[in-house]
Amino acid sequence: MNLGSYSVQSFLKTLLVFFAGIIIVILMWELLALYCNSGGTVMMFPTPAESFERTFEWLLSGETLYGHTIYQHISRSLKRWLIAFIMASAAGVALGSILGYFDKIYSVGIVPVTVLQTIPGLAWIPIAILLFGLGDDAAIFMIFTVSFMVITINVAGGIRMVPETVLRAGGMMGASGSILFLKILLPYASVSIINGLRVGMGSAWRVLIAAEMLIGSGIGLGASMELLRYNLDFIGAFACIIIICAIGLIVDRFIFAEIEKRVRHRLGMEEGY
Amino acid sequence: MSQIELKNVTKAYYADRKKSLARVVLDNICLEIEEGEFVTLIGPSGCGKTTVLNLIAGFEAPTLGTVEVNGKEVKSPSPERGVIFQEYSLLPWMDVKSNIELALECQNVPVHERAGKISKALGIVRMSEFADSRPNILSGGMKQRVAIARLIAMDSEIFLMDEPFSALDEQTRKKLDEDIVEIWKNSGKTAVMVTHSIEEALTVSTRIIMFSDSPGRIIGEWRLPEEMNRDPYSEEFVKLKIEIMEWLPACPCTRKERRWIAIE
Repeated sequence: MNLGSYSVQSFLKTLLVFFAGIIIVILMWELLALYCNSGGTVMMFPTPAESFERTFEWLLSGETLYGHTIYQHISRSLKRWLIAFIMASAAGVALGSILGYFDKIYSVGIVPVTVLQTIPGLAWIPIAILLFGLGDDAAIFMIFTVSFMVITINVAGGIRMVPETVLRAGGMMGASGSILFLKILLPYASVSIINGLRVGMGSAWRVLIAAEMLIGSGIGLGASMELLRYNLDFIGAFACIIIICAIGLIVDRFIFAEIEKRVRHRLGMEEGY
Repeated sequence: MSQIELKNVTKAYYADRKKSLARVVLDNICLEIEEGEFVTLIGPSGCGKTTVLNLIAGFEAPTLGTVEVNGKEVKSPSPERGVIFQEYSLLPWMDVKSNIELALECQNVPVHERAGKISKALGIVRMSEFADSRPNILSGGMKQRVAIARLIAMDSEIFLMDEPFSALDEQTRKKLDEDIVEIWKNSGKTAVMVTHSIEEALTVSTRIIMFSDSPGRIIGEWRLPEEMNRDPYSEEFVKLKIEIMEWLPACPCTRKERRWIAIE
């Protein structure tokens, strides 16, 4: 008996929906380029075709860009991002858990977290430079700070949203301390936590590009983009944007969305098996 | 000394944000429940019967007065006072046996004793075959059976039940009422159940306590003899049901003026 299991058909359908979304973005871009270029401007607005061509050129020919292959740029950006994101996740989950678990600490602690969270990513640049000088550490610091706050708020919020009945059931069973936290609160909050990580990852990626544009060391996707822009190579800059978006999309859709789905299933939030 | 004693308990909540009005939910309640009784609390909704249960469970503290269990003041929830909630309270990511095991783990029951207690408890509520199922594939009645099994495994002295079967269909509810009575009889535990159904109260309990509309006060009490005929069509049952129904306080909406009390 087939109860509608995950078949090849449904996989193709998911893929189709996914590409339909991408096609909409590309279409909008194409229209914008057509509109901009119809007025006979001095600078041509890069079209999707030109930009994708450049992207594939980089990816396939091994052609260097400011002394490094595109893969070196990508891996350097990913490395900064990963280091900062892992640190932010660990710190955010820890601080968020404490804030979510202890009511009194929350009412005090959420204020500084919110204040820091309202500071735009780019506003951290002077602080980053003052603390770490120019280079990798400053970029990592910026990424860390921005995603750390987002993750903290989501984790704390998730733990505080655990239903009263569940807390009471826990109390009635005699759950306290680590059992209450690890076996009841954390699993209940895990979807919020994953969502927090997801949003934190997104903001980390955006800040990374911005940070690299200003304080990076000449290597990395953001740094390349900035150099390309200075040299009025807009097609190159757009090709960089394509790569940045592609990486963000892949990580979100294929890693985080998948994890979230599994966790939802594991938590019994979806019917049946 | 009774097992459960509510001594002059008053419970009030703030009724507005400025904290200038209070809503008195329970007004100077005195209630004693002996070991081995099956007490049901009835009354119009909002009369504070669930609050009484929450006070005994230790989820809330009285505004005035004290709640004592076995002579000790209730300060917090404890496994000796097991609760079956109106909403389903099983953890959805754990299968049935792990849900019960968690309760045992909280009480530091040694690992090698757990399996035996779990299978015994599940056997009593006839849920053994679902030991490895997760709650999301169970029906409402089955989930409440597991909640009962959890208390049996925890060996709670007192079973507190807050309209545990009110969300279930009539048939399932009748069956569960019969089962809970049987479990209670065999275990000799104390049971306190909140219900809005007089028929359910008459079916299960040894004593019925009726609360007035808010502020909640005890306005009626019926002791039911053990040998009473519990068949809902029997003369004895129907007569008592009519008596209790006639005793029920007037419609809450006609007495609104008594609900709010200004704080000085």
